[in-house]
Amino acid sequence: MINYEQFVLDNGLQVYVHEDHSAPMAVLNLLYNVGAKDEEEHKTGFAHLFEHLMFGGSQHIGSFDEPLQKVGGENNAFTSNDITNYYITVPSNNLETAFWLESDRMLSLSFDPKVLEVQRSVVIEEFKQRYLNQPYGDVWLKLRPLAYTTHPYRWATIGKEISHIEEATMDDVKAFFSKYYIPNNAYLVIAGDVTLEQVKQLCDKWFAPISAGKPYLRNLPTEPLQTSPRLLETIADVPLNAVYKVYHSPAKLDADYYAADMLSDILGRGKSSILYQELVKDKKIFNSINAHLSGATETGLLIIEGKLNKGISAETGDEAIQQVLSDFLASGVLAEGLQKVKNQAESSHVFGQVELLNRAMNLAFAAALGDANLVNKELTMLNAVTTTDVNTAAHKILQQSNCSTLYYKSSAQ
Amino acid sequence: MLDRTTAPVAGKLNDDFKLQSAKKHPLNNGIKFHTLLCGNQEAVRLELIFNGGNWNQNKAGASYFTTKLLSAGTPNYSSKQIENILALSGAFLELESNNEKNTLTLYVLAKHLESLLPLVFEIITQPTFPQEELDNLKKISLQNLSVNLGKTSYVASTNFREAIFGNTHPYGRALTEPVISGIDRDALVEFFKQTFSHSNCDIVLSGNGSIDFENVINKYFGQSSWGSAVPQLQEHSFQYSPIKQTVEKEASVQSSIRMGLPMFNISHPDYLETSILIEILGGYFGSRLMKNIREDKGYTYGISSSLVSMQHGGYLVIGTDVGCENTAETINEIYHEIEVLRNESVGEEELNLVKNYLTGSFLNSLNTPFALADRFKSIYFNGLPSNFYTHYLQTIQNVSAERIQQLANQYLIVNKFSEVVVGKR
Repeated sequence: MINYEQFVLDNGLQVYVHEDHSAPMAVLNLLYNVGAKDEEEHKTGFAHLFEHLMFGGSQHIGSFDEPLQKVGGENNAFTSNDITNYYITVPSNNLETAFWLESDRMLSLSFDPKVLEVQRSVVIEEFKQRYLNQPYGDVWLKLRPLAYTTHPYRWATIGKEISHIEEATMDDVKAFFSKYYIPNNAYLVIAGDVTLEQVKQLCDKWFAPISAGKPYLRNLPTEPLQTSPRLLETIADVPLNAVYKVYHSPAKLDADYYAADMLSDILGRGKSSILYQELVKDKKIFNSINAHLSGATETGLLIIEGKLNKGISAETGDEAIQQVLSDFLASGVLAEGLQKVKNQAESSHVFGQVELLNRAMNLAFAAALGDANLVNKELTMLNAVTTTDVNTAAHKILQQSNCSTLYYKSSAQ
Repeated sequence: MLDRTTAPVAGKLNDDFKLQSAKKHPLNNGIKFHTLLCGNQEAVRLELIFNGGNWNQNKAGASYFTTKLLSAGTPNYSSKQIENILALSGAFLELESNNEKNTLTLYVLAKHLESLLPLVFEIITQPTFPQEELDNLKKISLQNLSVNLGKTSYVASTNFREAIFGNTHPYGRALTEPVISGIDRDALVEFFKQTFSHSNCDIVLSGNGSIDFENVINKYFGQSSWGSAVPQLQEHSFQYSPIKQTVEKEASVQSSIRMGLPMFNISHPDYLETSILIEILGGYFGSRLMKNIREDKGYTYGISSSLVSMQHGGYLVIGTDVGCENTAETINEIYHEIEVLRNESVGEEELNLVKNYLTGSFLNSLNTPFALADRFKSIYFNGLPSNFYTHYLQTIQNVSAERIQQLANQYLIVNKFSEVVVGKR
């Protein structure tokens, strides 16, 4: 259970306060409701590049990191397809430094051309390190446009291609900032050794003077229903063939989201799962295999991914997966199988709340979905899932016509 | 009008800090059981830690395969049944072999802990090491190795450790293809016998729950003598001479660079102050190397330096992945930053920043019972005094710029550096 209080500033900034006085530390987590899905299709990777620029100095403060490090604080940020999230941990008696820094970069950035130039290079190196210079690193660059024809989930957070990052201009930066980095498009969570009264005062002082912007009303194209199977083959210098199968699955707030979540766990979470036991342990076709949901806010994916044992073709692996799935659809899930993944999920949920920073982030994610209290409802919703719900979800999701398959083939084989 | 140009007045960082210490509870059979109980969640991490690891194995790979296969079968349960029982309780089991230890870690909600302990006891006392499970794990390990060998960062890190310690030393020898292929069931049985016993075991439980943990652990692990292993410590040494190695990878778009030299470990009197020097060089986001190679030149997504401490030695490693065309210049700049640290004293502002950053990040790192237990283990297994971390915080506050420069001259001897580049030089 995460206790919290909330209030809204006149400029629209939504604030959540979670008190925990067990250690003299505080967290400031600021989530902006903008992700890679809000990008234009010829300027992809921009939300993430922009995140880098947020550390390059703001209107009144030359460096973001140094003043924070000077008072014992740490910070970082990440961008996903849905959101951009910034977080600071700091000894609680220096919380105000975090407010000072975070509010100034919401007010305005320095827009220094050298910062843009350097961060373009840094992000290009990140692109290479994560996506190009790793075996199987470019899988999602290929899978996303296969699974999504229309929705902007069809490109990865890092961007479609390096040239989009190279071509980013300062005008793009400024336009992006004024469109999305406004108090009425953000969720602020303060957690730890703080009080509601203190947070209200600090918010009034540092965030309240920032003007609201024009509300951002998201209006993304919806992904049309997939009606036939899709298949893509690629060949690369990797040692093992691999198969990726992705199925359209419910959005985060859909009624059957948790049934789909339990379904993916039953199929492929850990060594007791059906796919692992049948295909790694019994038939010894796969070297590794797992299933999980993409966790995206909007229309999501159920992902099955596995690497094959040496000498076994992607086609053989795909057939074996489909056999497991059709057996599963025919027999349905057993009560014990469902109870198992519920218990695993409960365990993950509780362990996930041990750390203060995680609690703060989870509150922010839930708030951005529209209801911060979702963090406290999650277990109840998980536990309400029945075997019938899982079987219904399985029949709806696990159809070949709903599936995009990628054969990632080894050039050596 | 709000003044946004001036930082708010900073509060003093907590220097009267007391690390919550572990409680010791000797079990009936003499096992040392340590608890670190705190936090609001009824969740625990149970660690059974055996003195062994790569350091004490007679055959390369024995420690790794023995540990990984502990849960592959017992007289009463197949590996599938074991996985199912664990999953039904929502528990997660990790089996880890490292340089000096073999550890079984169980993450579980407190309410399910006791029901799993008979199984855990059977796993560490009566594993059967089925041949079929060993064969499958060997096959999977060989294939995973072939995937890893396609990563410049993996090759650079393993080659670098080999450059430091040599390929016959436990810290330098990797799990190579011949090592994996050469493992047989006899090696597992032998390693198991010489490692897993009550007299060679520490148990650490961290987390919280309304359970009498001492009583429960004693009931399942403390009642009898089990296992035949007696504590042992093999002897290993290495001769170091620096090497410069380039592994060309034609298709790479980045080079992985690793450079450094052997150093002392956490028990050495200069360790703490030297760790501050290494922090300034490349230990945090605002470090000299990050500012130069990333934030000024944009050559990399990240660069870092760290002082790695094992039980019987340590080393300094500086690591980064850079665009191939910038490999040579990056190496030059790394040496340049070291020269600057040797020749010029660190400015007061930078030194104070690092001191406060390290203090704050240390305090913040203690925010879970599991992190506290990790700190305890570092002290305990290295034989350090219980006030070690108080001493750490004092050392941070007291170290001077002169001392940092002196340490740079004493230890950052660039002609003793080894360099490994995987990609293109």
